[in-house]
Amino acid sequence: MIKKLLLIDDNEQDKKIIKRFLNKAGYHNIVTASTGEEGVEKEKTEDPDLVITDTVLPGIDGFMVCAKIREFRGPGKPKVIVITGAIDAVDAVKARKSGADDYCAKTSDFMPLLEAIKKLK
Amino acid sequence: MSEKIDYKNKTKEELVKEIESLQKTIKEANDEVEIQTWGLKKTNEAIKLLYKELDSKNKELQKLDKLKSDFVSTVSHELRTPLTITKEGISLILDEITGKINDQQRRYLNIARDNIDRLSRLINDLLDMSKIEAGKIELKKSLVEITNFVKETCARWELEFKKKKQNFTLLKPGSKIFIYLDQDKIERVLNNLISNAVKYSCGGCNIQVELKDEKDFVEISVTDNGKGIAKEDLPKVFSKFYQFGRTEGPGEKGTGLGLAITKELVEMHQGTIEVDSDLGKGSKFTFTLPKMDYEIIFKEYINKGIKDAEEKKASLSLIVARIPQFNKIQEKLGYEGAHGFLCDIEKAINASLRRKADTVIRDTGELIIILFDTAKENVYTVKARIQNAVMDHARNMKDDILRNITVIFGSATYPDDAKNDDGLLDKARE
Repeated sequence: MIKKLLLIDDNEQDKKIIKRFLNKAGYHNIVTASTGEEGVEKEKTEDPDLVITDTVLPGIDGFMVCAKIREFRGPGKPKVIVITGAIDAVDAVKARKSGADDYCAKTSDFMPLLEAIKKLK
Repeated sequence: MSEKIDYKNKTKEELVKEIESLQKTIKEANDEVEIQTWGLKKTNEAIKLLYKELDSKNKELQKLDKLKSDFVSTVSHELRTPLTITKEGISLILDEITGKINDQQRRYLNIARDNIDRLSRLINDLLDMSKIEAGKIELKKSLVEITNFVKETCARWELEFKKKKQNFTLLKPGSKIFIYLDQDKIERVLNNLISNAVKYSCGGCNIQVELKDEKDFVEISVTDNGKGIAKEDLPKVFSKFYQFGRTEGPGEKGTGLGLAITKELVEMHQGTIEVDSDLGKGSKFTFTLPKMDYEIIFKEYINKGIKDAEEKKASLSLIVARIPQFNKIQEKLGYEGAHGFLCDIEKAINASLRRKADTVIRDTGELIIILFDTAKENVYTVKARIQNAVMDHARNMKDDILRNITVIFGSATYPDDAKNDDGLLDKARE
């Protein structure tokens, strides 16, 4: 059951919109981070059920964030979804290999993200 | 996998180990394939979604664009009337019809009038642009002798060149070239380009207009050695509301729409336009107009007529005047002479026609007169009138061959005789 979320995105606008969108969808416990490093740190301290990260971030990128979280926590928890505005098959594979559970497009309605979250067990 | 395995000399354990290692490799490969497949599946899903989103955004933008065009068109129309009235009033005062004015008043009124002119230019450009964008501008094409057309258009700029002390040269071929175009629109294109050259070149600069006759098209270029355009600005030159290298101070201010309209007008003629420029060295604008096959031109024209007639439930008639010995005339009088005769006949026919919309297209030895809104029962009267005009004209010629010319007249009417271009033409040529 996903209750607490960590959202990592360097775009303030996107972060705001995604947060509002997820709130509406019933997820109220959301913490955010703006860089990869901050994200990795917050994951340790906040212990979320799900991490949503953008691919391109200042400092370490979303794949690296993913790998670091898995290194620290092992498989299973938290779930990680990598979102991106620049879809690429190579990136999808990279996300999976870094230990992400899903990879989806950042569309303006964020429906793919919600569907990805709902699909997680 | 190319290495040979010697099974005989291996123990059972060794073989088992080998099989296990192979199975491990296969499992790894399988995992990799699974991950790659997953990646492709995810990407595919995402691309489909993004595509859908792009599509709906595109539709939304188109809707907004139309809304904007409609708005611009309505507002421009509404603005035009008060502007005209204001200008009229100022002109009355300036012309001292309402009484004497002093120099200061004259100065301010002149400034006001100049700015009203500028505003009306802007509104006219906006209206034109919105008409073009809405596809509401229709070309009224006719065959135009382009060499002379370019010469005459340039000649109207002479005063302007003199005023700015700019040296103007016109390079053109000696022969006549007939192009099927909308004269007003192409004149506007050429005027726009020349006006830019004048505006963005200093006194003493050179401005050159060149007309080149290529196989399938004509190329017209306007070159100046004025200010030029920066490389980074070049891709935006034909964009709407884009003005580059603007200097402050007096002088005619543009609207930023001229080149955008120019480009649209050229492209409506299936031509191309491009710019080449170096900052500080000058600019060269080149546009092309395609030469079209006579039959294609004619059919384009006649089909437009048929479409109109169909919509209005009206008729459309054709009269074809054919000179069978045109080749002989051409042999005797040369191309120029024979063609000149045809042009004269065309003029005579035009003079005999009562309505302006009737159009004549010229071909070697054949004249086709398209009569919009003319029913079958009326065509014979018009034909007789044209016949008289042509024969009257021929009777007054000096050459025997022209005086004794035979001209065959035929006619056809839509929808009575035929319903398409070929059918009408065949019938009229019978």
